Amino acid sequence: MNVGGNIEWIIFVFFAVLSVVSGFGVVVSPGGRNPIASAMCLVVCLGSMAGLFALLGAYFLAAVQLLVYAGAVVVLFLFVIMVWGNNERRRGKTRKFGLVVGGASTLVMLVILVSAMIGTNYHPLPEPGEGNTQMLGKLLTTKYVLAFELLGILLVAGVIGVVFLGKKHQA
Amino acid sequence: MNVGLNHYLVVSGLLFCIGFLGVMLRRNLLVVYMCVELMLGAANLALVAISRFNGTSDGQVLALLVMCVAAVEAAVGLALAVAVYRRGLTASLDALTKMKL
Repeated sequence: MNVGGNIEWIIFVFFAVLSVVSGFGVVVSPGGRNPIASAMCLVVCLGSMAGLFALLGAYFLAAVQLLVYAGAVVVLFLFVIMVWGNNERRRGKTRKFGLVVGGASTLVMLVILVSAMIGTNYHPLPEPGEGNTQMLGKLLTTKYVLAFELLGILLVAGVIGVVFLGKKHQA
Repeated sequence: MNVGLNHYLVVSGLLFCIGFLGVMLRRNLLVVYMCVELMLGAANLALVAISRFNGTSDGQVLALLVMCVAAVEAAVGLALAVAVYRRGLTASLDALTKMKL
């Protein structure tokens, strides 16, 4: 076992454990079912996911993940929670039926996913792909240009929808 | 032995299942949105890992597109949540079963 592999393992385990634990934090939201705690755990979870992206060589995606999620989406969540959503102090009761059904279906899904991922014989690690930003930009403007343009239309439609929904008096 | 594709995929599957559990269990609208974001992020992790071990960048392009769609989804969903709050309704999903604001 070489030193580089060891360091890679340490970084991987660190980010993996951090993301899974803070993912649980999003679900249980420690400290009395406060949505703000969930949002904070979401920042940690998505940040450690960005760490895994960087470990995979996708540096541009790691930066975008940090900027878009931690910088924009979670801040948006926090604004909505702090301005509107934090007024219910009572502890939302989890129904027993939902707990049983949700837990059971999650367990089934977990078993299916993990067994499929462990059981499959993947090829050993080939040469690391060139996960550089230049390649990404080339692909985005040549092979996937249609998806790129459609994404622009989707963004405009989303902005128009948000403005419409956010108006004071709706039709 | 280096970190293999299986390990990344197992982490991604775990995160996806955690997000799914949150969607099934939590009744708060905003927390459910956060769990959906978590599931999308887990799918992104699987895409990036597979693209890296495949030696191509196509999965990264797809992950980038998923990220943008997730951002739009969060914006529209939060605007809907604000519209719900404006009508004086609560954020609990149990109170929003009638599908009319």
